[in-house]
Amino acid sequence: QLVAKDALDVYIEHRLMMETRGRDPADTHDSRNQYPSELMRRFEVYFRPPSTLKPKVVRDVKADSIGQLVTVRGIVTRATEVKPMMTVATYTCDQCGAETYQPIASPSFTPLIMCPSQECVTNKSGGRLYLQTRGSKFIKFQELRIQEHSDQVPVGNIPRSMTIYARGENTRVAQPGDHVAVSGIFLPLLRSGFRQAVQVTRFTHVTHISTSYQHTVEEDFYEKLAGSIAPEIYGHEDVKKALLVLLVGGVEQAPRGMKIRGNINICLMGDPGVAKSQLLSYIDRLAPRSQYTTGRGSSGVGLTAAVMRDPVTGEMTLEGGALVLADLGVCCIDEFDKMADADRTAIHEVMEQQTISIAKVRCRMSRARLSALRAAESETERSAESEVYLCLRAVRTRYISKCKQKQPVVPEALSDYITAAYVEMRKEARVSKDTTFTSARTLLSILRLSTALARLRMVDVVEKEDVNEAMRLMEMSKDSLQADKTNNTRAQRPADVIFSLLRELAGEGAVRSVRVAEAEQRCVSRGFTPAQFQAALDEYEELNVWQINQARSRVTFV
Amino acid sequence: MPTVHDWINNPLGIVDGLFAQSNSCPDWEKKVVEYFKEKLKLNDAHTWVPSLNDVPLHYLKPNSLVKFRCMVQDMFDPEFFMGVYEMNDPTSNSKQVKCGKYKDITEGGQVDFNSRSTVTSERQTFYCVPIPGESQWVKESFAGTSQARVVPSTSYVPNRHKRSYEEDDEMDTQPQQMKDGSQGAQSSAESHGNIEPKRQETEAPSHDSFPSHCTSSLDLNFPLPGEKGPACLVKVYEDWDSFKLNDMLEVFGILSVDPALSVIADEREASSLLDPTEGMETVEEQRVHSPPASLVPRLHMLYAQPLVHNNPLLPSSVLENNGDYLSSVLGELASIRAELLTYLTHVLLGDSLAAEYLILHLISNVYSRRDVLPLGKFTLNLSGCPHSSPFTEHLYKVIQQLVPSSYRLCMSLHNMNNQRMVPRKDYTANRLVSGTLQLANNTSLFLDETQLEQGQLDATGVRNITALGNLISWQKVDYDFNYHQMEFSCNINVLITSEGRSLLPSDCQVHLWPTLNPPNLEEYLSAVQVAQVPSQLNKYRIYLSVARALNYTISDEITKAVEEDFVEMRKDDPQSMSAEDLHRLLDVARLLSLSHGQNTLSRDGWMKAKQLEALRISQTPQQKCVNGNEP
Repeated sequence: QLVAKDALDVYIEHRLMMETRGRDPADTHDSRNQYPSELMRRFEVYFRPPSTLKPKVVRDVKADSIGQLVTVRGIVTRATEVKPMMTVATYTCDQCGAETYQPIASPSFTPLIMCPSQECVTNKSGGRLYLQTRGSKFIKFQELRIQEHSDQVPVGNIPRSMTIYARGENTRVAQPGDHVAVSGIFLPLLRSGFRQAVQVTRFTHVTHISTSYQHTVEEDFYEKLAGSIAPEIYGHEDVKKALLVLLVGGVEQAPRGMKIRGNINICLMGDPGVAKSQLLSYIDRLAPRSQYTTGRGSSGVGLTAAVMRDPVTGEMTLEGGALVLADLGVCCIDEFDKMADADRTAIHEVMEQQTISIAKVRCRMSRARLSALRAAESETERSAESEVYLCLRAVRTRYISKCKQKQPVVPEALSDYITAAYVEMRKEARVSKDTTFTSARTLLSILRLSTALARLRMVDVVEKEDVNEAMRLMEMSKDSLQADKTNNTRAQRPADVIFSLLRELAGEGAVRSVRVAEAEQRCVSRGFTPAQFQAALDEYEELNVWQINQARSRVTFV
Repeated sequence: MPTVHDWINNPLGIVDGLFAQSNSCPDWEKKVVEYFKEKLKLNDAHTWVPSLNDVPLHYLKPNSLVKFRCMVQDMFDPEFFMGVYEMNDPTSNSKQVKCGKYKDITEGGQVDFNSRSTVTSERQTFYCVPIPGESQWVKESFAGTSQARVVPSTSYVPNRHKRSYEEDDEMDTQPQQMKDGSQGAQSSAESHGNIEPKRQETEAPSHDSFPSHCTSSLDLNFPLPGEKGPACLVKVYEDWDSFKLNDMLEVFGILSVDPALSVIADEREASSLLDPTEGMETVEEQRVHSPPASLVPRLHMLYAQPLVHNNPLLPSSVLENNGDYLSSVLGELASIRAELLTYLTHVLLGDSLAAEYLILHLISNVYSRRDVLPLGKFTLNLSGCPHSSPFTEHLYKVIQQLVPSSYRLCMSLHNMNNQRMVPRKDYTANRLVSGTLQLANNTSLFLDETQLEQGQLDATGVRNITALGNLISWQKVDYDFNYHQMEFSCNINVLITSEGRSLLPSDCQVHLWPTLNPPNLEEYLSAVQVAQVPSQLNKYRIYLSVARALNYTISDEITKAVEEDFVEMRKDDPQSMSAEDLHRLLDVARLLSLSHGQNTLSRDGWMKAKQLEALRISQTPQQKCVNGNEP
C-alpha cells in the first residue's frame, strides 16, 4: 500500500477505487491501462556516471556528443526558480464528466478542446474539456547555466557556458557560484520561429548533479580548516586559528544605536623572516574581499581614496585614510610600523569606530566594516585596539562565507560563566607583572572571538567550548608576548604549569584539595588541552605529589 | 571599375554549386574556403569587396560578399545548425538535399527533421565591433582605396570622405558647415535609392534619429563612449580557436540581414508565458544574442585575415616578408625622423628632449613576455603640462593624427568614478559588457591627468585607478567575471600627461620645459598642425608603424660592454644606478636604435641612450618622497 505523499496520490487512489467499484469484478481487464503510465509512476530514474568517467570541459562538448550521456564540470552562473512543469494534463468534460489524459513530452503543447470519450463522440454532444490542475501531474523543473572554470579557458578566450535542464529531485541542488559536475544527455534545442530551422542552441538534460563541496561538519574541522591556511608554513597553529577567526568575524551588535563592532583585528608581530608577510598575503587571497598593502612606500591605491593636489608642484596624490575597497572585508597592512603617522591614525579610526573620515576633504564615510590585519616588526603600536597580539617565532572561501551568514547569540546561561572568567582574568592581571592590560576591551574581544568560533561551527548559539577556545587564544597571544619579554628563562613544560595552577587553586588550607572539573576548566581557559591536563594529573600522581580519588573527581595534595 | 563579380554579388550561388558537385563528400567545405581565398588573392581583388566600415548597411546587397575591419569584443557560445538538410518541396512534391552552411534561414518548403541525410554542424559566434578609437584618417584612407561598386543605387558615388557615418564624436574637429554639407550629400544620395523611407530612418547612422526609434535602447556595447559604426555577429565555421578576444580582423563573409532573424525575438516574448523552458532566455539575453538584423547584421565568415596593424598606408602582410618595401622606407628614414622630431618639438613648445622621448614612446611595443613581465613597454609620463589649458587636448589631436588608433581618457573625478573601464560579464544578458580598457593591441591610450581635481574617489574610482595601474605595470586587464577574474594581456601604449609627477606608475618621466611662450597657445598649436601637409603626415605614419614592427637584437659583444659599463657605473656610485635604471636604459637604447632604423644595438647607440637618460634625469625635478606614491 502506497503512502499518500501529495494531492496527486490521493487523487489517483480515488480514481482507482472508483474504477474498481464501477467495474464488473469478473472483468480481468487491468484497471490501470486507461491511465498514462507517466501519471501512475511514483519514482524517478537517474543515471549516475561511473566514477572512472572524467568530467569534460564545456568547450569539449561538441556536435559529436549530441544524444550522448556526457559529464561536464563548471561553475553555476545562473539558476531559475524551481517551477512546476506539466507532464500529464488531465481534463474533464463539461458534458459527460469523463476524464481525458494528455501526456506531454515536449516543452510546449496544444491543449485539447473537444472531449474524445465514447459518449460524447457518439452523441455528438460537443463536450468541452477543462484542464484540471489538481488531477494533472507536475514535476519540478529548474534551468541552470554553467560556465567553464577559469583554468579551463585557453588564454585570450571567453569562458563558454551551457544550459542545464534539471527535473524532479535534481532541482535545488546547486546555486549560483557552486562548482558542479553535471551528467546528462546533451541535446540541441531547436530555435522555434518563422522559417528558422537552421539555428539551434544547446542544452543538457540532467540526470545527475553533484556539488563539489559538501558541508558536513567533521570532528576536527576547526583544526583542519586552520591547518589549511597557508599549509606551506609549518607550525603557527594558533596564529592560523586566529586568522581563521578573523576571516569569519564576530557578530556585530547595535544595541540602541551604539555600535559594537564584530570584526576582529589582528596584529602579527615578530622578527623579520618568520612568514608574517606570507600569512598576510595568503589571507589576502583567501578573503572574498581584501586589500593588501604595505605601510612603507605603499602604492596608496586601495588604502586611500582622496585625491589631493599639491599646490606647489601641481602633483596629484592619493591620500591615506579611506579603506574603501575592503569594506566588509579584510585589509592586510604589511610593515605597519613603517607607516606614516597620519595614515596610522586613520587606520585606528577604522578599526575602532568602523568609520572613515577624511578631515581634509571634509567627507565622512560610514560603513567601513572590515577587519584590519597588520604585521609589524617592532612593538611600536601597543595600543589596545588589537585583540590579539601574536608573537611570531613563527578552506575554503565558500565555507567561510557560509559561516558569515550565521548570527550566533550568547545565551543567558553563558554570560555568568564569561563574567566569572573575566573577573578571574582581572584578578590575575593585577597580580602578575604582565605588561598587557586586561580591561573591558578584553571582555569584548572574548565575546567577539567566541561568536566567531560559533560561526565557524555553523551554530546559532555560543557554547562553553567557544568561550574557552576564545580565552585560550587570548591567553596564547599574551603568553607569546610574555615569552618575548622574559627571553632566557627555562621553558616550562605544560605539566609544570598545570601543577602550579592546581596548587594555586587548592589554596593554603590544612586539607589542600581541588575538584578535577574545576581544575580542568581553569587549565583549559589558560590554553591547555584536556589531554595535557590528564597527562599532568597522571604524571604527578605517579610522583606521589597528589592523590586522585576513585571517581577521579577530586585531587588532594599529599 | 571592375566588372560585377558573381563571387561578390552571389557567393551563396557558388557555395551551393560546389555543394551540389560534391555529392555529399565532406571535401566541399574546404573547396569553398579555398575558392574564395584564391579569388581574394588576385592582385587587388579585396578592394572590390564593399566594406561594412564605410558603406551604410542598407546600400549593401543581402547575401553578398562583404568585408569588415573589426575587433572581437565578445565570444558567444557555439551553436548548432543543420549543415545539410532535406526539404520537401510542396509544389513538385519531391525531396531536395540542401546546404545550410553560411545561412541563417532555411529556404522555402518544409524541412524534414527526421531525414537521415541531416548533418548537424557547429559554428561559433563572435560579437565584433569596429576597431575602438580608430583614427579618422585611417577610416578615410581605407574608404578611399575601396573600389567596391555598390549596386542598389546607381547614382551612389562612394564619396565617403565626408560621410557623417564614420565621424567620431571625440574628435569632431570639422567645422559645422562641413558636417551639414555631408548630411546633405547623404540624404540626396538616399533619395536616389529605391529604399522605402522607413528603413532609411532605422538605419540612417546620424545620431539624432536614433532616440525616436524603438530599438534605440539596444546597446551596441562599444568599448569607448561616443563610438559609431556597425556591430556585427560574425559566424565562424573553421578553426575558431585561433581567434582571441580583442583580435583585430578583416573578415570576409556573406552578409545576412534577413528580417526574419528579428522576428524570432518577438515571437518568443509572446510565447514565453506558457512555456516554462522559455523562461531561461531573458529578454536581455535575446536582445544581445538575436538583435534586429537591421542594426546588427550577421556575417558568415568565409575567410578572415588577422590584422597585425590597422595602418592603411602599409601593406597588410607581415613586414619581414616585405623586404623591398622595408628597404625603400628605411632609405629615407633618417630624414623623416628629423622632420618628425622638429614637428613634435614645435608641438611640445620647443622642448626637443620631450619630443625625442615622445617618438620613443610612440614606437614602443610589447615584443615579448617573460613570465608575467611584459618586455618593451614604454609608458611615458609627460609632466609639467599646464593645468587647465587646451595644451593636452591639442597634443592628443597631434597624436591622433599620427597613430592608427588612440583614445584620450580624461582622468576627471567624474570619469574615474563613473566610467566603466574594466569589462564585466553580465550573466543576465550573457555577454561581456565592454569597458574603456578593452582595446585592441597597439592602441595609444592618452591619460590626461591634468583634468583630475581634488576630491573623493569612490569604490569604482579606486578600482579604475587600480586597473590603470595594472595596465601600465603589467600590460594586462583583469576582466570581471563576478565569480572570478580573468587576466587578458594587452599591448597598449600609455602616455600620461600631468602637471606634477603622475600618481600612476610609469616607465619614464619627462618634464616639459617650454622654450616658446606663444601668446595664444590655442592659435599657435592649430597653426603648427595645419602647417603639416597630408603627404608629410603620411610619411610620419608609415615611419612610426615601420619602426614599431622592426626586429631587434643585441650582439654578445655589446651585451658584455653594457655589462661592464654597468659595473663601472655602480663602482663610482652604487646609488646612481639600480637594476631598474639599467632596465630602463636598455629600453631607451632599444627604442632609440629602432627609431633610427637600426635593428641592433651599437656602441654608439648605447652611449647616445646614456646621454639622453642623463639629460632627462638632470631635467626632472627631484622627487621628494613624501606622499608614498612610489610605484
